[in-house]
Amino acid sequence: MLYRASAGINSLESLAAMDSPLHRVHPMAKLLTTLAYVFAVVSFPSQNVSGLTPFFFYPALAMPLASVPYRPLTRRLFAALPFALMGGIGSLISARETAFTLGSVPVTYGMLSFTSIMLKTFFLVFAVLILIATTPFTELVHQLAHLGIPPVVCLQFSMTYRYLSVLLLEASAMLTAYSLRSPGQNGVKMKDMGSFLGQLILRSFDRAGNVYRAMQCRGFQGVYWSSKNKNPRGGDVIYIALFLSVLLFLRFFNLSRFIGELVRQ
Amino acid sequence: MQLRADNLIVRYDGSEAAVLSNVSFAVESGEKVALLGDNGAGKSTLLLTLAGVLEPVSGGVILDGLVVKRENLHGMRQKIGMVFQNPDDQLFMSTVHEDVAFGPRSYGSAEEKIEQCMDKVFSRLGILHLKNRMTHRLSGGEKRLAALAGILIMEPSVLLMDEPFSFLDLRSRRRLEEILDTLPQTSLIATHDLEVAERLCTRAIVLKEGRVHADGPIGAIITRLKSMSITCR
Ligand SMILES: Nc1ncnc2c1ncn2[C@@H]1O[C@H](COP(=O)(O)OP(=O)(O)O)[C@@H](O)[C@H]1O
Ligand SMILES: [Mg+2]
Repeated sequence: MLYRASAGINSLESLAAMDSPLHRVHPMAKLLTTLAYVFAVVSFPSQNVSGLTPFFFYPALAMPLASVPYRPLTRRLFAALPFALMGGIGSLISARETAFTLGSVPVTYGMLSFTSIMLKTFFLVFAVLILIATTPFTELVHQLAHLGIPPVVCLQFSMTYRYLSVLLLEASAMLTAYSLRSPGQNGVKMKDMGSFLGQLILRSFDRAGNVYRAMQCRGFQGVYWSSKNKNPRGGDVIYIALFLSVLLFLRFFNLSRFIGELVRQ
Repeated sequence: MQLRADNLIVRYDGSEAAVLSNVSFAVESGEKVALLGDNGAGKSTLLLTLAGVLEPVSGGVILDGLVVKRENLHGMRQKIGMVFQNPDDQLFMSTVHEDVAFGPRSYGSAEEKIEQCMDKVFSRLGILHLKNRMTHRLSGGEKRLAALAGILIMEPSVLLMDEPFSFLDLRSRRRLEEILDTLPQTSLIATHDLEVAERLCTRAIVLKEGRVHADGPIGAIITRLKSMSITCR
């Protein structure tokens, strides 16, 4: 399981090395639009389901544009859903007054909050996943630095990320060694857990230290920013402009309700 | 380029005893020297010190007459390439391409130039096909060559290698040996493999408990080591 998790980080990263129209958009453009999208979604009032629904436009457009496989993304989306469920069910139980009736079915405020929490979670997680899947991690950190996030924070951020994969790899190696010597058993026994975790932390500190040394030897001085300092092109500006106008429009104009009214007339 | 260790004393933080005591030697330009010694003799520590990763308590590392100091460390590191024992420590970027580009990018090379140099290094090592592969999915031999590529692209004058033949099967070993044999760099290669050392190097330095135990032509040293291990038994 741990091995799969570490392969997971990497496989999302490996999607970022692919090529597609969305991959080619400037990382800064993607970072800005993702932030704006997240902000727009989060700022919706908690029971406004009809206003949120049109935000499906991003997943619907991004998936074909990014031409990344669905499975790695959907797997991670589902992983986030239980947390949303926990939050949603609470409001489902607590707010039982009817908001309106759909045909003859009463829709409560709780049901509205529940749906909006689920939608928000889906949109947020999707936005972050698609960003990671189409933009190499180092470039993201680079863009954060451009946005004025202090280098130390950026460094922490990238080291944590790198450290996480080291940790997971060490854990999977140790788990393999452990299970080879304790056949017929699933996972680590509770009594061995303490020393297992202690070992894990020591070993991954050592590994992370070595990684850091290797980085230093190749000229790393605390601020490494990969890449091609790509300059934004005309297309990137258009991408931002279009994306933001759609966001503004959807945020302040309830498209679903408008279509509903049209249909009713 | 000449690499000189001058009376190095190295101690790890938090431990009393010195891991290296009064280590001195000079490796001449273009010379290939084997660094021999038992586990724990201090080979890795010596290489890390020469690469400027560990700071000696006293003594110094001198590169073509210039003492390596904190102030000039960044520039010096470009001249000294260090290949770590475990390639997983060295390959920290996601793809081979990104990883090999890490060094030159740290030194601000232009992207077009990096691409050119990369193709040259890859074809020299015969790993052009690995360029866009994920680093964590490579075999042991492929990882080693990718890590070496990441160092060679910096065009160092001195190569330090920590047990480069470990984690490799016989075929990959042969392959690496052939490659190392053609490299012009001044090299210091820590290894346990006496046969490879004899084929590849002209001279050997033997470390024992952090001191230079022997230093001389490879043939004589290996004969001596072999006779010693026989008499010990
Ligand atoms: N990070 C460290 N902290 C403290 N002691 C260390 C560390 N790394 C190595 N040592 C000690 O330094 C000595 C030399 O180790 P090392 O240079 O790795 O030897 P070799 O590479 O020849 O096997 C050993 O006794 C080892 O225990
Ligand atoms: Mg060693």
